[in-house]
Formats: sequence, structure tokens, C-alpha cells
Amino acid sequence: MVSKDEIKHLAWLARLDLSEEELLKYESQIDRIIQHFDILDGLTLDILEPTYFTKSVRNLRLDQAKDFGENVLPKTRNRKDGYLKGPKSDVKQ
Amino acid sequence: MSRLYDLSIDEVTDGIRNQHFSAEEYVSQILERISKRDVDIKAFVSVNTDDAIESARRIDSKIRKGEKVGHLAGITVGIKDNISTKGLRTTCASRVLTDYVPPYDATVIRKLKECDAIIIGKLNLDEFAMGSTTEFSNFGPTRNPWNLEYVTGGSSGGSAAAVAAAECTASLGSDTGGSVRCPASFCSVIGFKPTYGSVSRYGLIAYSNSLEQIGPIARTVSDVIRLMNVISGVDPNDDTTRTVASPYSVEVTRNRLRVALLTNLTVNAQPEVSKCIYSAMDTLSSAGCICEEITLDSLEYALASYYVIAMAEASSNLARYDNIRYGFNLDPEGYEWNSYFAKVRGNFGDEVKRRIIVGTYILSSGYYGRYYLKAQKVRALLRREFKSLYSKYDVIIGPTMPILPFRIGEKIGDPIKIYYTDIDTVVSNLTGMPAISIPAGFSNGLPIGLQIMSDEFQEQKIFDAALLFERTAKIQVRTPL
Repeated sequence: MVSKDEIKHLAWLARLDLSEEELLKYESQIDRIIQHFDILDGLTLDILEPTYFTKSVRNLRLDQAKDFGENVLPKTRNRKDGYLKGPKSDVKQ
Repeated sequence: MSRLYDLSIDEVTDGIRNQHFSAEEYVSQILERISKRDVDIKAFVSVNTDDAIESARRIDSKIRKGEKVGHLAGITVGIKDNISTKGLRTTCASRVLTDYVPPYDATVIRKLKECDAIIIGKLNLDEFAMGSTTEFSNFGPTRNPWNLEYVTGGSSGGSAAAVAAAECTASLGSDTGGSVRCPASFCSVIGFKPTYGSVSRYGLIAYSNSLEQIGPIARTVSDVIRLMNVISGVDPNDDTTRTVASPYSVEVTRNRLRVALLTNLTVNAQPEVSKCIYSAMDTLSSAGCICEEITLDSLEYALASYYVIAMAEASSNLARYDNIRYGFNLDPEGYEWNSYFAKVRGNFGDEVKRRIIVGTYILSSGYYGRYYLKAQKVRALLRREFKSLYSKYDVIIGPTMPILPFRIGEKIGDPIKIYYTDIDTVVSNLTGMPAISIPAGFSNGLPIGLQIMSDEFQEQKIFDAALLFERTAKIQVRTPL
């Protein structure tokens, strides 16, 4: 059973603000979704190697900078002194 | 010239090249069609009017001067709004990407432009391609051209509806668990999910990157093939791409195909859907194919495995949206780092939030082995079993969707009911194998799609079967409106 507090914690891990109403709704929905995944929990497939990708990455290209020209993201709103402005990083939690 | 908007790719390019009509005349008719039909259908989220007319005039001028033009010159292609288009807003139908204008073209867009195809606009989708109805869009739902009260399917609902309503020559969608094939089936057009690794994902805004492929939607099988011949192939910007056996033939190369009907898919389908698929099998038999029925027990694990993987990948792929470089207006001044991100990310829509939370749960320690690892093993199992089936059969068929299109709003309150509609399509994404949806008939005026699947990089076998079926069954594709 996935509780409301667990959903609150998961939402915090994913950095998602949820309203009280959303928490209530997700509590019942998410538990039902996970129950449908329980069909996998009972499976024994020990002999099989998992397939994470059907095509693996083989020849990574060189990590070269590419010039997209000036003002790449003209719609960016929050700027200061030629930089993008973000929130302060001193964590108070 | 009347009804130019109905024409196929070949008819458009021949007509323009031989100056029976100009590219500008054609594009103007398409734009007029959009302004007339899209008020009701709501397939487009942005129309590229000025740029499209300018491109058409450039093509006409080249032709008048006797200069060479690209082999798709003048066709209008609509693009799902999660594929990056330089200078043209790309929103993923999300508040979180409001006003995002990509500084580069996706590889598929670059390739289309190099052939002088015209990008006519951007098409509606479920937010970040998460959904099967196009109802989870920040712009509101697209309506099914066959009956405006019904869903188009999704997530590429705009891409399928625009093609069905002849608002563009063809379109591109993306298919993570059926998102090209489902709306193609519900709107009675042709939608193709290529082998994973045959079309570059560079510029496709990622949702579940181990499953998704960009694929074409059109009104004829040969139009789908022509688009595949342009968009597929190796791209240094997507290292999972591989050399493909293109160009694919638009003529049938083999008609004695070994066909297997996967009865797991018909047993659980609505009776009218099942009946239609059996009749499609008879059609293929009459066209020279050798048809049998088969079952596959491990298929029952496909849907859960698909959703585990897709949601886990969604939660990590969508971690990047922080509203700093693009997004809506919220000044970060005065906010603490974590609380700002949580606040802006609260603006994801309902379904996206649900998937991020479930994905975060699945990837938490303690649950990883129970769900995620098992899902990846089921993927290995399904690949092994389908590989073995394809040593005996050329193609496997079944319904694309287990049910007929349903009314807008009918299932939106119950996410699990919507997830279950993907039950027949997800397996091809898990195995990385190609699959097409092609119109197979109607029930009460609502479309039914036949799904044809094959082994990795065996797209020609699917195209052969689809071409055979198309010319034998003769199902109406475009809406009568």
C-alpha cells in the first residue's frame, strides 16, 4: 500500500509541488497502478540477462562544442548581467 | 484546381514539378483547409504560415528557372510538437515548455528540408507524449475527424487527425508504446513505428529513450515508405542509429508472405474489432499470403513491463525541466533552489506528474529489483520469443487497438483504463521491432486498424504486407468531410 506520506516523499524527491487535492487523488490511483506491476514481482527469470537497450551505444562522437550563434534562447526571461538567473542554492531544508 | 489537398506525395511533387499547379497554390489550399477544418479538429498548435508560403515561392521560382528541386518539393509535413524545429515553437503541449523555441532542427527535420519538404506546422499531443488519447494536452484535446465527439487516440493525435482531415500531405509522430499506431488506427490513416535505431532521435524531446522512435503517418502506404526513405539512416548525433536497408520499395517485392495472427490480441478485443481482423487475414490469404493462428503466453507481461520502463525513464528524463532556460514567467529571485524547482515543476499536467511519481517509486532502492529489473528481463524474454517466431513467419498481425475509438472524457478519470488500451502496441517498443497500423474497416462509422509487425530491420516485409492489404481491401482513408 502506497500511503499519502510516501507519495509526499516521492513528490519531494522528484521536486514536484502537489496540492492536498492532488495528493488525495494520487494516493488511490498510484496504489492501483503499482498493484498492476505486481504481476512482475512473482516472475522468476533468473537465467535471463536484462535488456536495457535493444541497440547499445558503440561509438560515441567527440564531445565538441558547437556554436549555435548568439542569443540561442531569446525567450529566456530571467537574465542578469549577461547570465541566466536561477534561484539561490543555499539549502535551508 | 480543386481539392489539391487530397493528393498523395507523388501526385503533389509530380504536379508541382510539371507545373500543373504551383507549390504556392498547393500550400495555399492546405492553409485554407487548416483554417476551415482545424477550428473543429484542433490538430495544430502552431501553423507555420509565412515560412511555408516563402518556401513554396522559393520552390516555384527554382522550377521556373529550370533549377533542380528536392524530390519532396512542395509537400506539406505536419510535425508532432515534441520534435525540435529551429525557430518554430516546440512545446510538448506542456506549460513547462511554453514559448520554447529550439535553436536547432531535429535530424528528421533537417532531412525533410534538404528534400524541399515544407514544414506546415506543429501538431497536438498528450503532454510530453504521455497518453493514448491526446486529452492530456495543455492545449486541450484534438477531435477525431470521423466523429468530433470521439478521441483521436494518442499520443500523436494531432499528427493522425491532421492527415485524416487532409490538413497536410503527411506528418511525423513519435511512438513510445503505440503513440503513432494508436491514433493512426483511430483516425483511419497509416502510421509506422520503425525498428528502434533506424530513425535518429536527435531533436526528439525525450520521454522514454530506450523505447521511442519517430515515425511517419500518411494516407497511403507508399507515402509512408517515401518518408521512411528520407528520415531513416545513421546519424552521428544518435549513436543508437544503424544502417538500414533503404530505399524501401513502394512496389510489393514478395506476395507469398508467411503470416501469423496473434490470437492473444483478438481474444481480448471487442468482438467487432476481432471480426474485422479475421476478415483482414482472409484478405491477405486471398492476396497470396499463407496465414496461420498462433498464441504467445509471455505476452501477458508486456503491458506491466512497458509501463515500468516508460515511467522510470520518464522520471529521469523529465528531471531536467527547471524553468531556468525556458518555461513560463516566474522570477527565481527570493526563492530557495529546491522550493523553486518544486514550485515550477508543479506545473506539469496530471498524467506527467503521475508518471514521474510512479517512476520515482520504481527506481527507489528496494523496489528496483521487484519491478524495474524484472521488466528489463521480460524485454529480453519477449525479444527471444519474437526472434524465434520470425524464423517461422515473415509478419505477425493483430488489431492495433483492442477497442473502437471512445468518447472524449470517457476514460480520462481512470488512468489504468487508458493504459490498458496500449495492450497490443507496447510489445514492439519493448522488442525494438517495427510495426505498422493500416485501416482495416469500420464499425458504426468508427475506424479499426490492422497491425502488422515484423523482425528488426525487416521493414520491407511489413511494407509488402501493407501494400498487398491496401490494394486488396481498399478501405477508405480520408474523412468524407
